[in-house]
Amino acid sequence: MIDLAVVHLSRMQFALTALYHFLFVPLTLGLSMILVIMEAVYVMTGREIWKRMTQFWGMLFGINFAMGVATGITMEFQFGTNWAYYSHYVGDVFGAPLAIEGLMAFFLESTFVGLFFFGWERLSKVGHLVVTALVALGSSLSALWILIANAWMQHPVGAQFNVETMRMELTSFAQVLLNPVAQAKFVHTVAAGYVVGSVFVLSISAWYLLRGRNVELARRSMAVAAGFGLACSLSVVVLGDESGYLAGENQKMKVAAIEAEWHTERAPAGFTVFGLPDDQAHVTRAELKVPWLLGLIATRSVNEPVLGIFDLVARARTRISSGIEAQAALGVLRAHPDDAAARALFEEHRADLGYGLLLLRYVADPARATPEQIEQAAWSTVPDVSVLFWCFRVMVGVGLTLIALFATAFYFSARHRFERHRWFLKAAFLSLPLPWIAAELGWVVAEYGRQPWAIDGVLPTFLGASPVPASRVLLSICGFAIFYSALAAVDVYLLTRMIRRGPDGLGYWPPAAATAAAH
Amino acid sequence: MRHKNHTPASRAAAPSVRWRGALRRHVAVLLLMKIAALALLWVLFFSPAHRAPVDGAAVSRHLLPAKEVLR
Repeated sequence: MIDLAVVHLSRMQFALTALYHFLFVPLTLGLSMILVIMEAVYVMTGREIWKRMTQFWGMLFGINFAMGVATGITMEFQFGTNWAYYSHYVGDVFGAPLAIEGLMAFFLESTFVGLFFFGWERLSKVGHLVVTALVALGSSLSALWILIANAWMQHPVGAQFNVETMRMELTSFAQVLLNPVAQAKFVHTVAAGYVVGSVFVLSISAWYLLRGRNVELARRSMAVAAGFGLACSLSVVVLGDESGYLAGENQKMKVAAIEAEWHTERAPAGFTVFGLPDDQAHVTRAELKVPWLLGLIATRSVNEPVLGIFDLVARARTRISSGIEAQAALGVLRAHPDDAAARALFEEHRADLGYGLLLLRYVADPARATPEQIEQAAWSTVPDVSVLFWCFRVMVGVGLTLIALFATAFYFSARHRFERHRWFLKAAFLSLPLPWIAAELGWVVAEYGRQPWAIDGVLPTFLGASPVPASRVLLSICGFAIFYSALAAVDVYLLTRMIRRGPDGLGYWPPAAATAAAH
Repeated sequence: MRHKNHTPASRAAAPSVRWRGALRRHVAVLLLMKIAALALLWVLFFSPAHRAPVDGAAVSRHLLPAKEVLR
């Protein structure tokens, strides 16, 4: 029988480590691109201050990069330690992008990070700029391969279940690579990373301006962050909308849960701006809707309905019944591989095998499932509506706030008025945690909204966990908590120490300080 | 003359040699500590005793428990 304690603890561990890891990833993505912009200005103008800016922000990038690497490696090991069934079942597909990420993008990124720090006096101006650009490219390639793997979990394409090996096997790498969900996720995530980097630079620069320190450097940094951040925060909305549309195509239950839409909305469907979802009563109270908007986001039309949870549960019920047939035929095929009737029956119901497997949570033999158990399994396809509803709205609210912040910063930057508006500098400094909140909530929506599936429609999460004692998973969670808390303390100490010392204290700028530091 | 030219170079080389030696020692100590830490992690979490063997047959038993019993 499946030990649900192991499943819950393994999920908790993965969520904790993934959310922690993603504190560093978007800043690496964002800062690497901002470094390219700053160094490009240095190469084009020859002004020393832009080189010093690149070096100062590059040092903060380096601290963050090291943390991202340390926390990312442990995640890949978890697939083997905590998710052994998952790894066997989909490893043939899922392993390829992870391996490519490790071999290509990660080594590319790490090599050029080394050249970035030690190549200032050894490479030409243009040569070093190319290195910095390759650091940014490597960061983005890392993200690309991880997101290809993640997108496959959301929308599994280019693979088929093999009865003999009892696992999903790759049929088209091109389909996995060009998965539209992967493309939308990649650009959305990378743009969000650029926003994180921009807010970081904007916020720290605002702190310097509030104290009247490093004014020349901070003013220029704010200008870069304002322009780049405004473009990227607007992009995040457009690219997020594309992700929403693809979810409407491929993960209708996730969209219905995000919208707390219990009943099918007739076309043109309205978007719920506010509401109070009740997961027990299956209703959403005090709804405030914007007409047509959901229809446009989820179907790109005004004449298509958006399916509600009740109708999607009814669909799941039908697919579970079909999945029972697939599971039964698979059992016969495992015992008698040459049974043509069983093979034909399996092929007929193959697409619904995953739905049949949902029943294993409630009954050992799905063929003997009662109507109540089938109903339970059908409703288990509904993720936690309240959590998704609120996480999504807070994420969007924070995103809109950041657009307003960058638009204001851009206006003040264009008019050279940063220092005159101390209220804005304070607001910019206080906004520092906002993009991280939005990014983390985005992942909660994406991954919590995928439940109960590890691979959407293919493998339920509870069947993916390793057959290990719960006490061992608990022990490793404690280990991660201690290790990651220590890392967090070191990271915060190093970053705050360097930021407090600043470009002047560290000898980056002004030139007199730099010369003194050199001596 | 040759001796005079050689002396400053020797002076410059001496600290460099000391610095390189110290660096080698530090790197060696760090590598040993790292190997020890990795070995400890392997013994605690990844050695064969901790592995859950999952293959096609195990997945079959996992996904088709009732069918396995019937066979």
